[in-house]
Amino acid sequence: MRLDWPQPYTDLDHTADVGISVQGSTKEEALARLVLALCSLLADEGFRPAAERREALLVVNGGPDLAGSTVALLREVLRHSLKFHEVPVSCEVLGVDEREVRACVVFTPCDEAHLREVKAVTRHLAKLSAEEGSWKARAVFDV
Amino acid sequence: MFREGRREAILKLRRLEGDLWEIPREGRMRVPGRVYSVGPPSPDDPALLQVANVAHLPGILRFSLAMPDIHWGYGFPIGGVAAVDAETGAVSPGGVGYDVNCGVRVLSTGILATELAEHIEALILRIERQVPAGVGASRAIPRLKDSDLDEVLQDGALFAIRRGYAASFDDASLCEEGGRIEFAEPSWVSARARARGADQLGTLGSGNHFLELDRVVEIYDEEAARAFGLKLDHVAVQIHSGSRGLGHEVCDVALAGLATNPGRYGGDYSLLPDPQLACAPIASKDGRRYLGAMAAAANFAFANRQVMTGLVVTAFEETLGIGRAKLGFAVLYDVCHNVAKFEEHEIEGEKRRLLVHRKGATRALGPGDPRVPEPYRPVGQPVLVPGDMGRASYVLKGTSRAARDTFASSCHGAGRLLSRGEALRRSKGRKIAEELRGRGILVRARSPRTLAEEMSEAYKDVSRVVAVMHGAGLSELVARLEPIALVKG
Repeated sequence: MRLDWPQPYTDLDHTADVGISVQGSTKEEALARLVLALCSLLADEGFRPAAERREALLVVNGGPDLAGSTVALLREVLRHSLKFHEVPVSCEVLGVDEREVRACVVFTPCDEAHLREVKAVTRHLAKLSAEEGSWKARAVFDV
Repeated sequence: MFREGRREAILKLRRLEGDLWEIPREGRMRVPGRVYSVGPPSPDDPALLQVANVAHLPGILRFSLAMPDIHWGYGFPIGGVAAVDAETGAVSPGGVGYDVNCGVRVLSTGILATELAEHIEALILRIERQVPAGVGASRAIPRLKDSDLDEVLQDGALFAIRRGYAASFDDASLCEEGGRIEFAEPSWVSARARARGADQLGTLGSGNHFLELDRVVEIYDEEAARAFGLKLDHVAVQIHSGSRGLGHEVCDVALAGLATNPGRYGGDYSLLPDPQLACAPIASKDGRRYLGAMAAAANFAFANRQVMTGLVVTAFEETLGIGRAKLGFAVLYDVCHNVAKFEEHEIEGEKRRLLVHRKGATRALGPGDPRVPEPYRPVGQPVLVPGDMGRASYVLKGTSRAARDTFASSCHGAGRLLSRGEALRRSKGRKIAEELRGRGILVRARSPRTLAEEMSEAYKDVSRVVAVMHGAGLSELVARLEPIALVKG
């Protein structure tokens, strides 16, 4: 299921960094939502998505657990964003398990004036787990 | 230990003296925790639980330390200091942080703040143009070739000085480690890290990074101020920045490697209470590779602050139309806030070689120490403590008591009080730039959101933080600086 930016997320009120939590009915949906929440961190309030789009199929080694795979995908998305100055505006997670994650991510350019720097995706509090009938995904970013 | 937002234990704390508290050793803690605190620390503060966790590190000696600007970090708290035996101890990337050698440099000048007044807008706009913040590349050094990057990673500030970016001829000698950490190994810096850093030399970065023009408003120690070149009512410049994307990637790679097999070193390494304390024996391949790459990243940060030094001096020359000699720029000092270094310290009367992790903490060597630059040796090493953008920053000097009590360490800044989300909520309806302007502080920032996240109320009062260090005899007040204008990352 492909999701488009923006997507709802919760700020964890982490003092030093920025923590984000999302929910989904499947783990793929939750992870896709988390990827798009990263866009909300990367692009400041002046950002408007351009018409130009670039689709990338990301296949990333993850593990040792689902949280590790979550961090691995976010790291790859962050790398693309900082390298090409673009942000994810659409995401479909094709599959995620304890070893690998595959996602189709659509990026759009974001000029330097509106691109905020996220230093890293930490492993702190990283989660992708089933809880109370839905899936929760969470990550903390060093900004 | 703190997991998943829930406490599993409330710490016992006992006051030792003044603002110094102890977390008694218990369970698998190898040493007690020692916390310097503004007011009584809260036993359920997650950052203090991290202090207790750090006390489990293999090879840790004497104490797991916390400075009064402490707050919760990754594995180690920010404001944490831990020293381990250099041969048998562990190195933990979380004990350095993602922004390797995030640090601060202060420049002194021969200009009165009043001389700057009519030029201040033009000057700060020029600085903003010439020293990119955020993700922008530097116009000064648009992109480094591989061979140049190797030089940066090896030679640190010296690379930039050779390229003509300097305040004065002796800049490097007035930096911690001479602006260059010797055990750097550029070959262990990954291709990804190099790609991230290649176009970022001479850039400020973002978040809490800044370039600030200050006025020296108060001098507490005339002798030390004279030695440091600080004069009342004169302009000083602070540059707060680090190793940019290159350093972030160095830490990330190390943590990713250690996460794949956390128990590989067995024994004590598999019994650590927090997986974010992932570490390796210093003598192992993982340990040596991380330290070599970390030192290289630290050198990138030294070079970065050196390039920005040159750019700031040029901006002053071009805006004020005054030559260098009259401007009187000099590096006061350059300190690391996030680093792990091999240092010699005395333990129970014996000199020992240690690896000292400082994460959000500053080295603070006392008078007479041969590692202090010669002009400062009679008074002690400058300790540079930036505050928030609306209040003040401080210059202190290190003491021999710090060498005795904290592995020659002191605080590094104000420490965050509010999350960015909470800061944004509290700033709703306010215009932070205008508020600062009303108080005579001109600020340039990438966005109103940045200013809101970095507003004064988001930080502890640095005056109280440095008062704890002064009261404990770990660093002594020399001068207070107040902002005139700044560029925020």
